[in-house]
Amino acid sequence: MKPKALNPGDTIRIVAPSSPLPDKELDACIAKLTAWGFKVELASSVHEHWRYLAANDAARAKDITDAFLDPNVHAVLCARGGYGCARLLGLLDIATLAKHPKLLIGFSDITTLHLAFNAAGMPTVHGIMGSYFAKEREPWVLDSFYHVITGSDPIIDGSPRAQCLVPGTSQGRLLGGCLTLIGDAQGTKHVPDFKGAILLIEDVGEKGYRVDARLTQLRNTGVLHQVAGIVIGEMTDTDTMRDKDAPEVTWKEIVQERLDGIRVPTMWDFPIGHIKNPLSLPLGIRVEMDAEAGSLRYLESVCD
Amino acid sequence: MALRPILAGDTIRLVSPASPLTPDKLDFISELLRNEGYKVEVAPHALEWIDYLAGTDEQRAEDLMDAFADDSVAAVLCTRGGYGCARLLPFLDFDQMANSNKALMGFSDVTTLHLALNRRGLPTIHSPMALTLHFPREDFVYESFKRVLRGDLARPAGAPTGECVNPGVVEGEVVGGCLCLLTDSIGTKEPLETKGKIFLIEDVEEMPHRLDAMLTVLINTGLAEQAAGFVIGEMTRTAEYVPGIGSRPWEDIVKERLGPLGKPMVINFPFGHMKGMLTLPLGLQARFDAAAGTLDYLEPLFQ
Repeated sequence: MKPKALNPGDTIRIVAPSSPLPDKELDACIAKLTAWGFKVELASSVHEHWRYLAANDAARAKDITDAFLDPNVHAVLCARGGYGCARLLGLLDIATLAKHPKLLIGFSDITTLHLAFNAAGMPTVHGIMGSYFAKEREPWVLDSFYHVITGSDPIIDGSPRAQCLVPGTSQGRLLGGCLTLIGDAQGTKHVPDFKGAILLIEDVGEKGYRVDARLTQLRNTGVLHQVAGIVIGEMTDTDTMRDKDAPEVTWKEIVQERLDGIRVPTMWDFPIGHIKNPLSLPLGIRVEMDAEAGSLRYLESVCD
Repeated sequence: MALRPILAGDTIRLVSPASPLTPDKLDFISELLRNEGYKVEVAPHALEWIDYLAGTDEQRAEDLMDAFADDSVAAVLCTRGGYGCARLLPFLDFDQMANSNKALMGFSDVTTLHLALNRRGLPTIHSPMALTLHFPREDFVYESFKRVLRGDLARPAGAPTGECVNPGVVEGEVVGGCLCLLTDSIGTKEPLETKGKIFLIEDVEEMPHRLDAMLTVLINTGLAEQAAGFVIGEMTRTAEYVPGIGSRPWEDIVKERLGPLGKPMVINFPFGHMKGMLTLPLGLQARFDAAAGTLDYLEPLFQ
């Protein structure tokens, strides 16, 4: 159940399954996709705004369903994360949508959809979203995105390597995304089997002790003891949001301590997630990681 | 299973299973307990301090296990929450703790321990802690705390009732506590179980969208649907606005997410992180009348 790679003239539909994004912030994204030769459509919820959600649940769920079932749509790009995908799980028939495999691209709150679609057997893309095209980025950011959607290698020459935490090489399906949403998915029907997987984690705006709590949850559920390797991006802003009385402990100290005894190849500072210059990485397909080299290599393509 | 009673002259041991605190924070509760006729002991590592934890996991777990194992200790009262109980799961023998029949008292991060002991049939007590009572509280807070220690579960005069969202009367075991710890337990070997139970939920300092997300976890896992009714406290100091995401009053989020399940439900029931909190047994049968905003216990706390 792999999506098809995009060709010039294909249609990318932008949906807003989570929080709203001001229309004008999409302009640069639409301009870039159009310049690459793709047609761009905006789902109706992209223009809506209801509290911290872009439109109500029914409208957001319908936009995703329509995008997957419409044969004239070739890829589904999320406008932004924020919050809202988990509210849609009861309204989406993921198993049916996964039978119409399409590139589904986003990260952060979109992790909830990655886990659900990966559990249903469809690979997805942990990639930059509509909100990411407006600012100046390093060249690998757009190159990686373009490579992914056109079916070539997303790891771009010149992009940063990770730092090694636990040396070793390992192979497995790359699964994960935003740590908070991986935790929230535990116990639901929409979570893939992490046994033998390479776990991808990153987060933003979490206090240090909550990073600890989330990693502790993944220890206590057994997820961390099942995976074959761990690729960490960054816990963005965690070190700058300490309360004035809070201890001087960094996210790296917390992560290192919580992963103590896990003993699978592990690397951090891999360029993904809530950082300025992330790569766009397929999830749900097999990769090989080399922690000492700080590298990730895809063993298959996200597209047919 | 009823608890071992806490009699005049009995010892209550203070433990710190989660975050640290300074010694002065123990003064008020120690004096209150002594005035009630109890002896007070401070566990060996209760005043340890390592970053956001009161000692190593091994030290905190050892203090808990020792307090439950020591026959001269009648009840175990936590000094504060914060964070750290979930880290202790691999180090604690909950079966042994439950077999002691002793009261564990506390709330907030201690929710993790309440869940594990309640699952084994042992009642626990959702109560203010040393840090909670370091700050002045309304009279009913002290009254409720002292009465429950004596096994008197009658509602004290002056305690507020909950505000009805959905009317209805249900009976069942009382379970729950602090929302983020309830959801963190899901998928672990000591998970939240809600089937047929009166479900207490409160939290502190969450962002509005995270409150929504955690209630959505309860919905997506089926745990909300399985509960008999919802006794919601307060989502204390929920951030009013999160840049880039937005805001919404916590009451609206709770009503919108859990209200449509149609179960008896109140909000602002006095427990947890709000200013005035009752001391409430968990793991005991109670009768919840949402229209009246009351929770009345149907079985004794002590043997």
